[in-house]
Amino acid sequence: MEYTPVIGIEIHVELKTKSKMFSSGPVSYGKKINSQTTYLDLAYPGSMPTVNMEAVKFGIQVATAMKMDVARTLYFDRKNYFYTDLPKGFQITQNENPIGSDGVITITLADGTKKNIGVERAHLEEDTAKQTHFPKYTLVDYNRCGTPLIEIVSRPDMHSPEEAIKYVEAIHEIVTYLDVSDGKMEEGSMRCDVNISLMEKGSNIFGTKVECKNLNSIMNVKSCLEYEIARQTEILNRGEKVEQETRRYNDSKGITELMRKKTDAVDYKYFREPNISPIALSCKFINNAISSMKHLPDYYVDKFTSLGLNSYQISQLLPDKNYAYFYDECFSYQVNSSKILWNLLMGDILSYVNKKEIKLQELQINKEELVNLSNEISSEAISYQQGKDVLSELLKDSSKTTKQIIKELNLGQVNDGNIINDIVTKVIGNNEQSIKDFLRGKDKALGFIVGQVMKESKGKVNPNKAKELVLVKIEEYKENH
Amino acid sequence: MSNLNKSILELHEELLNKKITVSSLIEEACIKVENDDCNLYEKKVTKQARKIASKRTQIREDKLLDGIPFVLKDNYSTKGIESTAGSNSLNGYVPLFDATVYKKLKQAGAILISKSTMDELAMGGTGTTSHLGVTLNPMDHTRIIGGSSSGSAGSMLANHVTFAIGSDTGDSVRKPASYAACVGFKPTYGLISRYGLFAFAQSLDTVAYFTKNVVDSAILTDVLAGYDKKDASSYKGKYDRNFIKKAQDGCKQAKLCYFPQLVNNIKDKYIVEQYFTLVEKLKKHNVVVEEVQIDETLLNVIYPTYMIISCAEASSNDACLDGIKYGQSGDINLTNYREYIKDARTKGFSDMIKRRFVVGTYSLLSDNKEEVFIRAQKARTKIINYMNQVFEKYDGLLVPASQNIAPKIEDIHYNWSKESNYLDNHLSIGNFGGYPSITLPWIRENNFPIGINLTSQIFTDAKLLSIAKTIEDTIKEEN
Repeated sequence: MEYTPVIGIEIHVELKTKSKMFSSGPVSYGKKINSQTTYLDLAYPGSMPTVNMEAVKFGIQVATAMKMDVARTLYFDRKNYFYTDLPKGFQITQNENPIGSDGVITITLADGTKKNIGVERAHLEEDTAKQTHFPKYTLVDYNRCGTPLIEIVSRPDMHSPEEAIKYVEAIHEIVTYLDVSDGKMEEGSMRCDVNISLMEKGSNIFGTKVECKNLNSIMNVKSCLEYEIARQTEILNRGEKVEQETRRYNDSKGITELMRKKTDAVDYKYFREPNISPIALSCKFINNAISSMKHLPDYYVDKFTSLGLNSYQISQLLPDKNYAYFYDECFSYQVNSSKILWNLLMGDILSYVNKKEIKLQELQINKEELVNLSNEISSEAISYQQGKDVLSELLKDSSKTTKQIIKELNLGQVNDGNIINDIVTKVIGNNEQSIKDFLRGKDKALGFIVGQVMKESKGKVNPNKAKELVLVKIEEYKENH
Repeated sequence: MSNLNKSILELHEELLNKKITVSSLIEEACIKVENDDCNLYEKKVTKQARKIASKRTQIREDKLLDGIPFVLKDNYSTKGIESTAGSNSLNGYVPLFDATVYKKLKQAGAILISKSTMDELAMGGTGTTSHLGVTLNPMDHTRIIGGSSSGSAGSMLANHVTFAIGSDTGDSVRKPASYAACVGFKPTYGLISRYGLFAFAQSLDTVAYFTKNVVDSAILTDVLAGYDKKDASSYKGKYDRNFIKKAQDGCKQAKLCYFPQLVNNIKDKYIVEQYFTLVEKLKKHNVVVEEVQIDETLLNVIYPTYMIISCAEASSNDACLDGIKYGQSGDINLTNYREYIKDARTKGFSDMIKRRFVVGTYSLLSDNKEEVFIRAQKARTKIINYMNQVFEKYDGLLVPASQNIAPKIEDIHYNWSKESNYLDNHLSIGNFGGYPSITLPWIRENNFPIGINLTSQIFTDAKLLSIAKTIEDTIKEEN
């Protein structure tokens, strides 16, 4: 029997507001344990929640980015349960009336096809305390208590791990481009839970779904789904039934493990939060939130397409918004070749940044000089290979200009046909065997000959011109023999 | 005459004219509170009060509460003063911050003498469920004084202080005020910040107080009313703030009403007779009182509606009392957090509270919610809708605040009756709609007091106080 996976995803995104969702406590990372709390965060009797309107603004922006209906009135509800990470004994969330409902996200698959994934709802809520478990005890850090979250719930519209990953990436791009979250999955500022069931091919009856938690990277989402598809397929092929349950992904073993069965599910006893009167959002507030939205990835896709990049090149620039911003900002100068600039950024600069283990934002480089370098290469004044040397100098000393470095290194490309011709003639004379090889169909031999020309000229001749002339010489050789 | 029989205005006058000093006034209150034999008080702060009083040699003319002694129900957060809300679960809890109400009263110059006893976590209407035991009626120790603001009510009846702060979720100030021969006022929901008031059921909870007369209630309202950014349910909009002026002037005319069941069905015919005598007297002051019909079903559902909503909210609000962060601990030898919380909560609450948590939790479970909790919300809405219609035609609802004098302790039953008697519970209408509602001293039977209650449309507090003043004057006339 063949099965179609049916996948839905719930994503919790921590919003990077200054203060917490319902208290004046600061939103912080890495601060001294239990030092960033207020009376409400610790549920002191008589403390009361107030709504952080900056988080509401971010919520409207996320909802708008996902083409959702934005709520005109905010309501909050309580989700009641006892747990050590929940000092109040309940979480304030939006159960009945989420800030955003009925949206859509378009993903692009590897084969270029586009697909719409429905987003059922996005709602604002507060985070719980952070727990660190030890064999005999658990330590609780209440600093995270009350940090604003937006939970984004997809419809069960995804049918493969690839679609799921693309969806998670799309959400990550939206929240990072809007600058409402750090979106760091490894650090927990973006957390995924996936629901997966298998449906018989051709059927439209859903199978029993299993919820998987603890997916702290995109790779884990993929591995977890692949594992679950295999596990559930095997169960169904044995003629057994998949149990409705919650499982935890164990990334060291690469498997999912049972957390709790459906029968142990908690009844959250939702009801309207009585401490917060409904808040009517004015058109002005909503419009301000929308008009102050930062550009979404789509904006850059259009822009980079019009600059001549292909979809592969664009897809490489987008995941980390800092690269897209960097690339985009270079165009405030006159860029003659968007592709050479792309090669410099996504080839040489990226590998430099990775090697140094720094972030692009920390890089000391003058964008104007980078553009000058790109233009020197595109005008063939220097070769790309020489350009790499210039770039490493620019990265070493950001006060230098491209022109200075080219002069200092005595670079510059030889384009004079007569000079190149002399060198080519010399090289051809010394490498007759290679010509024979080439004529017998060994394409690699051509590269070798051109390489010899470059070596002979100490890398200064224009490689394209050298190649042209080598081919002419080979043609002559063929006629003479 | 003891200075503590006097009203805020009288004392202010005498303090200003140096007829009495703050020290002598506060000393008198402190001695009375220290000698209390009715279990009216939790943490007493007489030492602190005397110290403050000794420094208060000048009274500010524009601060009517300057130097005035008061008590505060133990469910208000008071920085540095243990606050238990009458529950073992909060034993040893010393708050780190002041409730807005307490802060405003301090800024206005009022001097706290003691925290007052109350039914555990404000649940209960008898003053018999505090962790300190039964709060006794200062007039007769075999009787209750009512609750849940029991200590505050008793302190007024015994004339220990000039005013007392309580809180009102069902009738917790207005009913005991009836037994305590004082004014009990619950302003409109949202008028006064609840920040720092330990939540019982926030959709109903209201700051409320006991005073010697209507004008004193107006003075407190003037000090306490106002938007507080710390309370997201406090009201930002405009309303008539001339509480004191309106209360002093009384009303020129008013059109009030009553539901016949809430008067005629009272078994004690003396009360019924006195009610209509009052109605007659009020006519002379251009206050007419007309009979208005109400579907008895609406009255019958008041009690179950109140119990379901208040218990549901309480079961959630009091989930924070888990013995982990503050208050009385559970057994620290227990290694599982569930067992620990269970132990702390088993020891922390009385059976009555646990029963309410069970009712509240039951009503919110997804299998029951529609049938129980949501139905209660719908009933609440129906009652509000009907009352709003009534308030379109009438300035207020005037009814006896209780159907009897303060009951004997031996007659208090802890088993919940299957039958609800709306004559015991109708004041909750005021909490359902957030209406301002005031109980006034009215008649006496065997010397024990019974009050009368007036309820009106939201944010008509100033007008309500003006009508109440006229009724108060009329009642004084006839006695």
